[in-house]
Order: sequence, then C-alpha cells, then structure tokens
Amino acid sequence: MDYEAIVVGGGHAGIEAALALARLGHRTLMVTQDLDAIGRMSCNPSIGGLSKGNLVREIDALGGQMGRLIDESMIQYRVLNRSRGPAVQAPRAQADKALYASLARRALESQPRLELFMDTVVDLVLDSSGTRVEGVLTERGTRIGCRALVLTTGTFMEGRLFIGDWSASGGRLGERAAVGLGDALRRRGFRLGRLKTGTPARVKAGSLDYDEMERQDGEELSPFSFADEAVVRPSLPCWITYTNARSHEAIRAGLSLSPLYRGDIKGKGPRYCPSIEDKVVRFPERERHQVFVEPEGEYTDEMYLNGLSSSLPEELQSEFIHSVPGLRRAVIARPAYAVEYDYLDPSMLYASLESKVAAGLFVAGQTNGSSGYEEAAAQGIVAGINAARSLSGERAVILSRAEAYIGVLVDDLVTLGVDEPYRMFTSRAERRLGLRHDTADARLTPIAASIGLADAARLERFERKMAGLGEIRELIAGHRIARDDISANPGLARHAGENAAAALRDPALRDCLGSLLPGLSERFPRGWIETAELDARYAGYAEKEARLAGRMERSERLRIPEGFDYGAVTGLSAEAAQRLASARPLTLGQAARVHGVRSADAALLMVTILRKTN
Amino acid sequence: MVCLKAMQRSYMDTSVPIAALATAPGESALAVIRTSGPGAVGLAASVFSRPAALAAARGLSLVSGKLVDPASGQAVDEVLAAVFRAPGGPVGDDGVEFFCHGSPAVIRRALSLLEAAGFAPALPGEFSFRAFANGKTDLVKAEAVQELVRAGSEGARAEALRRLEGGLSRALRAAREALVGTLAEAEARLDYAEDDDAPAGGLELAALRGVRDLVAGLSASYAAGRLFERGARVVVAGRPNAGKSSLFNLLVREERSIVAADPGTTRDWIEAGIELWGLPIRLIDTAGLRIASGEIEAEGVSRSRRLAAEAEAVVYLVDGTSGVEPEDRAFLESRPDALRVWNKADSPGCAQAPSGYLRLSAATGEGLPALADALRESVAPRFGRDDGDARPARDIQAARDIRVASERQKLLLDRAVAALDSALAGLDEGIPLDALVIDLREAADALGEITGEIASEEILEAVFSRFCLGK
Repeated sequence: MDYEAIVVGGGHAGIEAALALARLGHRTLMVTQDLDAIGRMSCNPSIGGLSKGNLVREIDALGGQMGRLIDESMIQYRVLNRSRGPAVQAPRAQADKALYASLARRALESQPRLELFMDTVVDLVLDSSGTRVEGVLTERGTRIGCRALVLTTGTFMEGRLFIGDWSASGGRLGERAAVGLGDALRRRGFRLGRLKTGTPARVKAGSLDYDEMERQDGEELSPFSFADEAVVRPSLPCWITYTNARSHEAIRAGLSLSPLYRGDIKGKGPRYCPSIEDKVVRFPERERHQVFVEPEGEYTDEMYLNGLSSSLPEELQSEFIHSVPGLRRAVIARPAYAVEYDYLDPSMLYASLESKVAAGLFVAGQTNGSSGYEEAAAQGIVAGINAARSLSGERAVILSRAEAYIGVLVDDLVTLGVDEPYRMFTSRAERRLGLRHDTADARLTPIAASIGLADAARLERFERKMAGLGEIRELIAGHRIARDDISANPGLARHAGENAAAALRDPALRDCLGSLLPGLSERFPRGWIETAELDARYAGYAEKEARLAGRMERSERLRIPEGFDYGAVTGLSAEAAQRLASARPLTLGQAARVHGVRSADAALLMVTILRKTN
Repeated sequence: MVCLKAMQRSYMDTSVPIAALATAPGESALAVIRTSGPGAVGLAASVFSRPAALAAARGLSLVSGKLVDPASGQAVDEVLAAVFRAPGGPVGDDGVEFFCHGSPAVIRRALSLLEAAGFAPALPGEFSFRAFANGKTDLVKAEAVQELVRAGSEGARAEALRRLEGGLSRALRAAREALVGTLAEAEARLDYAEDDDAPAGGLELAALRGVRDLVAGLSASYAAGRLFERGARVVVAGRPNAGKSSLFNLLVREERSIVAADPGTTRDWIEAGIELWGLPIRLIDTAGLRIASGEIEAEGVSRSRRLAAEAEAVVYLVDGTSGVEPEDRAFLESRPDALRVWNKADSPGCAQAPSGYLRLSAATGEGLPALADALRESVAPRFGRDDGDARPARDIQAARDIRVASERQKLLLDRAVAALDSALAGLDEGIPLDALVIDLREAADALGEITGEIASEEILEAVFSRFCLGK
C-alpha cells in the first residue's frame, strides 16, 4: 500500500494539499481519523473576510478548491468595507457547514489518483540517516510508504479540550485527538509548542427572540471562484446583539473557574480572537461587546454565537448567554470550549513549506501555528504544489510578499515563527493595494497555468477576461473629456481635454465612469469594469506603494549563499548570529525580519554578502 | 598616514585591528591615539613598557607606562593607556586608547610603532562604523561623532554633543512614535470590517499635523546646522578708509584664530574664523576688494555687495569724519539690515552719529561691546537661537533647539514632510484610508531610516494592545 504522496488530515489544508498533488499527477493517499469529518468547519460558519477573502481568491486563482466549495454552499454573501478603500474590501460568505463538508468530500472522492483511508498516523518513517521521509506509521501498526508527506493535523495533534474544570483528550468536541504523533515528533527532535484556541456555544434557532436583535442581511450573491459565473443559493440573515453589564459581571465572577485563568491551559491563544472572558478582563472599560448570531446551515436549527467563545463552566456559559438580549431563552445545543494542541515550529520549514530537518516532509495549516480555514487552505495548496514539484524534481514555487497574501503568510510563518496563532491581516502586507481580491487571478493564474493547475476552461475564461480588461483600459485611456461630458457632469470641467483616467484619479469625481463611457456596462461584466476602474483610480498610490516596497525588494533579491557562516561575520551580535544560523533565511530581506536581528546586524550582513559575492 | 595601505582595506574588515589619532593634529598639550579591534590589547602590549600589565588589564581601566620601540628598546613617550574590552567601550571591541603628549613628532612615531605592531591605519569614520555595527550607536549618533571631531567651535561642539546624547534621535523617535500611533489607529480600522466591534469615532489626525510641523521644523534647522559647521558669514563693508581692517583686526584679536589671511593673492578678500559667544563666525573683510589696478570704483562696490548679499550679517562702517556719502546710502538700501557703525569716534573731527548708527572707535575699541551685542542679536537667530546659549533638548518641543546637520538626514526629513503633506491633502480630498496609509508608511520609514530603525511589527503590536476585536 505505497503512494507517491501521503496527506495526513482531511481539514482545509489537507483538502487543498491532496487535490493539488493528485491534480499534478501524483498517486496520493489522504489518511484521516474520520472520513465523515472531512472539510468540517470547527468554528465559525463562514469563509472569507478582510484579507482572508483575498486568500480564498488567491487559492482559487492557483487552481485550489476552497472558492468553489463556498460558492456552492454559501447562505449569505457580503463585501466588507465598501465604505473604506479598495485594498481592504473583501468578500465574506456564511456557509452551510454540512453542505460545505459534503462538497469537500465529494471533491476528494471524485478526484482521480486520490484515495482516502481512515486511520491515525502516530509516527513518521524516516530513512536510515533520519533526514528523508519514507512513510508513516499508523495506530494499527500499518506502515505506508511514500516519497512526499504533508502533515495537516489541525488542532488534533495531542489535542485537549477544556470546559471549566472538565478536560479531556480531543481534537474537536466529540472527536478524539491524534495521540502519539506529537510525542513521536518531539522524540525525533522537532520543535513543538502548544497553542490554544476556542469556539463559542451553538444555540437552537427556534429559541431566540429575533425582535430583540438587529437583522443583518447579505447582498446579492457573487462567486469567490474566478471559475464560477454566478451563484444561485438561498440568502439567510445574521443577527446582531450585545453583551451588557450583567453578562460581564457573571463572567468576572466565574473567572477563577476558567481553565485559562486557573493555569490549566499553557498554550497561547490568539489576541485578535479573544474569548469573551479575555475581552472582559482586557477591556474593563467596554460596556458591551458585539455578538453575531449566525446560522450554521440551511437544514440545521443550530446558530453560532460569534464573539462569545469561552472555556468557562457550562452553568456560567448559560448564565452569560441568557443575559444577552435575544438569547434570554436560548437553548444551548453545544457548549463553548477551548482546545489546546501541538504545533510544529514553522521556522523549521523552508518557504516551500518543506522541513529543513527531513526532506520530503511538508507541513501546512494549524500545525504551523496559523489560525483560520483560509490560512490553512492557503498553506495546504502551497505544500501540495511543492510536494508535487519535489516528487517530479522541479523547483519549488515560492510566492513573494509583493505577489500574494499567500506569500506574506508563508514568509511570516517560516521567517518569524509564531508565538500565538497567526492570522492574516491586510497590514501584514507591504503591497496591500497591489493585492486586491479582484486581481488575484491576474496575479496568480499564470503561475497556476505554468505548473499545470489551471484547467482549460479556467484558462479560457482567464484569457477572455484579461483581453476584456485590456480593452476597457484602452477605452478609458482613449476617451478625451469633451464638452458633452462636461455638460452632463460639470465637475469634469477641470479635466477638459484630459483622458478619462485623469478624471477617475480625481477623488471628487467618484462614479463618473458610467457617464463617461456608458457603453461599457453593456459590453463587459460589472466586475471587470470595477477592476479596471480601481486600477485607474489608484494608479498613483499603487506606484507609490510599489516604490516603497521596492526598497524592501532589493534586499529580497539579495540571496544569502548556502551554508553562509554567520559566526564568521565579525560584529554580528551573538544572538543574531545564532538566530540566523537556526532560521537559515534565503535572502537578506528574510534575514532582516528574523526576530532579534537588528538593523545594524542586517546592514553588516548586507555588506558582508555583497563583498563575498563580488 | 600611509594612505595606500588604507585604500585597499574596506570598512567590512572588522576583524582587522585599527589605530588612528583621535584628537586634532598639531601641537597640543595632549593627544589621544585610539586603537580597536580583535586582539588590539595584545598588540598594544607588544609596544608597551609593561606588556603583562596592559595585556591583563580589565575593561575600563587605566595603565601607565611608556610606548617603546621593541626593535631598539627606545621609549617614544610616557603615556596613559585606557583599556576597553568587548562588548564594552565606545566601539564595542577590544581596544586601547593612549593619552600621549601632543607633539607631532611623538604622534608620528607612536603611530608608526603601532602600525609595525600590526594595526592598520583606520579609515575615516571606521571607529564609528564599527560602533554602529556593534550596536553601540545608531546612525544619528554615528554622524554626530563625525561632527564632534570636526567641530570648530564651542557651540558646534555642544551641538554635536547634544546629538550624541541622542537629542535628535529622541526628537525623531517622538515624531515617529506619534506617527506610528496614528498609523496603528488607521491599520486597526483597516484590518477589521466596518460592521465589526471596531474602535469608534473618527481617526485622530490632529497629531499628524503636529508631526508634520515638527519634522518640517527639523528639516528647516538644517540650514542652522550647516551654519554651525561652516560658520556664519559676517561681512565688514564700507568705503575705503572707513576703518574696515582696523575693526576686522579688533574682532579677530588673536592671530592664531585666523584660519586664512591671504589678501590679494588667491582671493581678493580676507577671511578669519572666529568665535563669538560660542557661535562660529567667518569674518570677512572686503578691504581687498577695492583697488586692483585699473579697476573702477564701481566694480569693487558691486563685488562687495555680492559678498554682502550672501552673508548672514553685514557690519557697515561709515567714516564719522566725512559723513554719509551717496555710495553709503546706495549700499545700505541694498542691505537695509546691515549694522550701521559710525567709526572713528575717537577722532576730533568726528561728527555726531545719526540715529540708527552705533558709535565706534576701531582704533581704541570704544563702542566695541555695544557693536558685539548688536552683532550677536543679528547673528544668533540665524542659528535658531535668541542668544548663544546651548541648552539640552528635553522633549519634542525642545526639538526646535536641535539641529539637523547631514545632507542625508535633511533629505529623509524632506521626504517625510512631502509624504505627510500628501497624506494631509489626501485626507481633505477624501482619499480612502488604505491609500493614505501608504503616505504615512513612507513618512514613518523615512524617519526610521534616519535612526536606522524600521517598523511594521510595532504597528501590529499597537493594534493588538489597544483594541478588542472579534470577527
């Protein structure tokens, strides 16, 4: 029972990794503890959001699955931040969880060259030198051989669940942990740490008082995937309510019973996604905290209480939940809980997501200390692609920070490591304006095409769109503002004789394109016009941003020679030398981002490298 | 010093022990020779009369002895050796500083001894570079060290010292911190959806204008900084025989402070570097301007005017025995801020000084204190001071007292100002925040580059510590 590649885990990272491997022609096995849990959304029932929506579209542009899965399972769609700038707008959709998971499983099952198998991996099999992966060992003593292995264990590796003083081994409530693998990796000298995350309670939809909450409807559904034309799905509302002084009092009174404050949980949780008890403690001045009540699916009565994640005892959970308007009579279906799990120090990986310790071993998703379905899937497709390329002896695909949020994500993880679950933020990207979600295909589909992940239909659509965008740009650049335009829109007067692009750059003239070139909307899809319009409108800022980031790119281009001896650089602080030696950065830019490396160290390193290479 | 050898070396050879004279060349009571680099103490011990004591000395200790030529056994000078051990000391490497007698002959011999012992002559600024590389100093301080070495006057030295103490670094950091704070607020708004539990209220951008003005002020102080380096030009002008040279000599007083006094040869004016109230002054006597043979009077006047036009201050002498001539009036119209001096007050034929003129006798020195006061009042503002007093800067407001003195700093400050202006203009025009932030980042980068720091994690850090956000 041997394969070219094995993917351990059937979550969002595992799905992308397995599909990429099989699609790139490699016989692949996915080993999962529970075939019925493939593609399960452990926490919030939504995909996308700021920067995460960009990740989903990038995964899609690379030929991944996540965009198509959510397109077929969404039950609400919104573009966030329409009132802010173009770089921070992003799509988010509520998902029908059960449907999402079954679509994911169907995608895997219908994929040629991919097989699924239910078992628990407890150890790696390495070659005699201990530096190359040869397979996995499972709980039932089966040894399965492979040349490339992708580990995507999520929260399951030595996972432990906590509710008040109750605690048990588990990866998700009701699902057992993957016990043994983490300890085996520790014995083999991998650096592992503990992280913590949590999820709120689910309540029965029929038990809520909707007139006490604010209704939030979605907008017209629109696809994430560049391969999907349109989405035909139902649209369900979400609801907004707030905690109050009573809720906070109950939480404060119960703090001593929280496993976090009792010290039972050692792992660090995400600061940006704090539990409600964390929020109450850290922000004592806040009188209320927002709660989104979100449907978990079309055919379930469960609702998700976004904002109320907790690990307090169940009695306390029901006390603070029942203090919130709309939830006073809520029937709790599943309690909130915290989960603590093993992660592998991602700074032990190259940017290909291959291990620096064991060749052929790739790691993706929460195992690398990230959080979020989108972050996991993004690493999954990178690991899958690069595992496939290592199998066929091709160079790894490494996306740059200027090219994709995926590039930022991977670079941050492998360069900086993590000390809390890593979430994507737009501010982590130096070229935010250049990474708009609507340009993900232009940025990445050519790469997908070159490595063999863009099918004919996708390519054909892509080429048509690029040609269309070109035409729109020409029309914009070629349209001189004339008397007719000005009489229709007097604001255009100061651009008389200039082209339409100049008018678009004028912040006082929003939405003038429709009147300037009324024919556009008949000839081209709305999305294309919007993309061309945003490109024109922010061209100046995008150039400025590129120039700023260009300074950074110079140091990105300066490669550090293999086997570079940091100890031999006189003047380099001992701490920096040690950290750099263990991080093994590939470029000066990466080196400068390693923790503990000061700008003086980077300057010194730069001149040393330049002198050595010249 | 042997320059050829020095040229072949690079600053990057930080493992090479280096030596150089750290004090100004020339005759002086005391000279300091600085050595630094791995093995520096051992090498220094090989030319020291008490090698074991020096080699064993702890960091920051003093050892007395003699510099000895190991070949001849001859003592070169009696010295005091200050020992530094890495990572301590000003450079952060092992090193010895020799305090010797300030005779050029002794210094020459000592340096050649050290070179023979294995020290390479230091490149310009190499000690500072190593201090920077060793994390001992940031770029601003490194540049300040350079100026301290070059500083010609008390005021310039105080200025350089203040920067060395981090006055400019502090002011820049304060400006940058305010900027990063605003940036963090902006990023927090950008990183969370509008329907999220995001921070309420408008972005506090008043701070941004304050930062802009502060940075613009620092940039403007560049001119003052240059004045400290070059000295303020004070032109002594007047018709022939008005007493210019007498006043010039009176102000210069001591011959040794004259840096160049070469009338008529290479230049056609006389210039002297003097120091008034701690401010460096280049005093220019336009006496030489006049009478080159065959030249018409008007040519001399026009050249004198040109020099005066470029000067920070002008002292215009009128001969009190002959009164104000049309020529004087013409000059004073072209330079109305000139200090008007009624000279030859000691002479019996001297008329009553018209109002607005200071009475002076360049021959006896009568009236000089009043003239000096007036001159100070007219020059000090050019240095950005009400008076010559040099007070240390304490806070962001006191940054007005801090001078920017390098072209690099000035350019970076200007870049920051331009970026901030663009951000403020964009704000008025309603440019969305994610585009505006690019300008803010540029400004923060430019300020960070001056001190050699670069931001980004710190922004997230601030975002996290301030806000409570969920979805």
